[in-house]
Amino acid sequence: MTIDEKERYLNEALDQHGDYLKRIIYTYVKDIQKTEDIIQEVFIKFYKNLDRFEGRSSIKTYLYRITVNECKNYLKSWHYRKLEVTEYVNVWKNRTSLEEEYIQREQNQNIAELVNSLPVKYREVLWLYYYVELSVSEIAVVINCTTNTVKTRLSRGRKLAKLSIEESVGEYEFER
Amino acid sequence: MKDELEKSIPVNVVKLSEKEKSLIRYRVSQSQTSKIYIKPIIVLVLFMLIATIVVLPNTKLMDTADNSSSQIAISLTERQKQQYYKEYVRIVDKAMEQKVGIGLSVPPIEEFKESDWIPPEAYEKMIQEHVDEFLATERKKIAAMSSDLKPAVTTMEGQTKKAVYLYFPDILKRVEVTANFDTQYSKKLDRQLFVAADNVSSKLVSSPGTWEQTSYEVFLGNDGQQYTIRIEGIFTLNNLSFDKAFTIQYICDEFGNIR
Repeated sequence: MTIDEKERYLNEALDQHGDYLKRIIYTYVKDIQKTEDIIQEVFIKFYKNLDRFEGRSSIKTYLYRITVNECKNYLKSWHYRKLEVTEYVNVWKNRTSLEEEYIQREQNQNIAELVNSLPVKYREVLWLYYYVELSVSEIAVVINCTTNTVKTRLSRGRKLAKLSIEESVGEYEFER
Repeated sequence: MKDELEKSIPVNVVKLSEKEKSLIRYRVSQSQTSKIYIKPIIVLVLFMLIATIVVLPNTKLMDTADNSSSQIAISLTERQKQQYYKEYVRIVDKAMEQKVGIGLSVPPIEEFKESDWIPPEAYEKMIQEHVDEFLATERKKIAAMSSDLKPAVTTMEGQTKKAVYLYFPDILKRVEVTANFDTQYSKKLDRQLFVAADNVSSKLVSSPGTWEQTSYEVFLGNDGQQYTIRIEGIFTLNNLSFDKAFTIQYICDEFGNIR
């Protein structure tokens, strides 16, 4: 791939996906400064690896995959080994009671607040599905798991976030 | 659903600005340029490596204590690791004594990889940075909710109620503090002043979770015009507990109204 082609891809990616990628990064790291650092790394990696891009997935999926990996690398960074941080959203010790806890939340609570308070593995699929509008199979590529795992996490995530029936029922929805 | 989610993103994250795009393009072009120089760098690194291999056996090894201020992971004996680990635990315990509402602990020693060992000073700096980051986030989150807080209200029974927001990892909780205050006219200052505060209690007003107040202290200041109350307690949610200490201020105006 020539430098001109790579630059064209980069510019298109920046214009078409930059805003959404930045927002998605924020949902993982919840820190504005870190979001700004990671978005730069994502596009630098994207550019550097364009030669290796085989076109098996779309540019969009490819970008999100890099993004999710960068975010997860950050979340797994130093303090996860040298320091244990009890974070409300990352702890999943007692699933049953936590599920009940979420389900008991007041009706008027904001959907986004509920989604954002979920553990990363549920939160990410809900954001990628409802916000970025990726299909189940695209999400599976992005987060590197099977489509069945994505479906299960979507289903459980929806239950935990109390998403309404209209939003959630039916396998048909997974066909997107 | 999409709109609801988007509303939860801070305004300055919503767009990738042209400035940011330019910075990314610049960094990409820099990474291109640096490729040109990579060969001389490799040659230089190889030269230094060979020189080190040749020279090192003839020189005395530096004492590891000289590296104590280094941020880079260091290699330690088992005994040193035990000592460092004890220090790490002491540092984290000290940080937790601040009761900022964060849960920190040192992972089991067996989980430490060789590359994880850093000097205690560097570990302490890392912990402090983490606490500072948490406090900065707390300030931002609480400031964003400040318009939601109303002035103190005093009931017919003389109880003054005032709400505050407390921040725990990723969650804001509203706590209502109730206290009894006595005020008295001061001839000298020709105004009402606080003279006593007691029966301080606090309760969680937003679910889920529980708040248990464990202690409080009152401080009278500003010539009797202001009470500062420091409250400590434990917030528990889903079997996770966070120690938290916070302060709340009450002002007595010249007519004895409390806000």
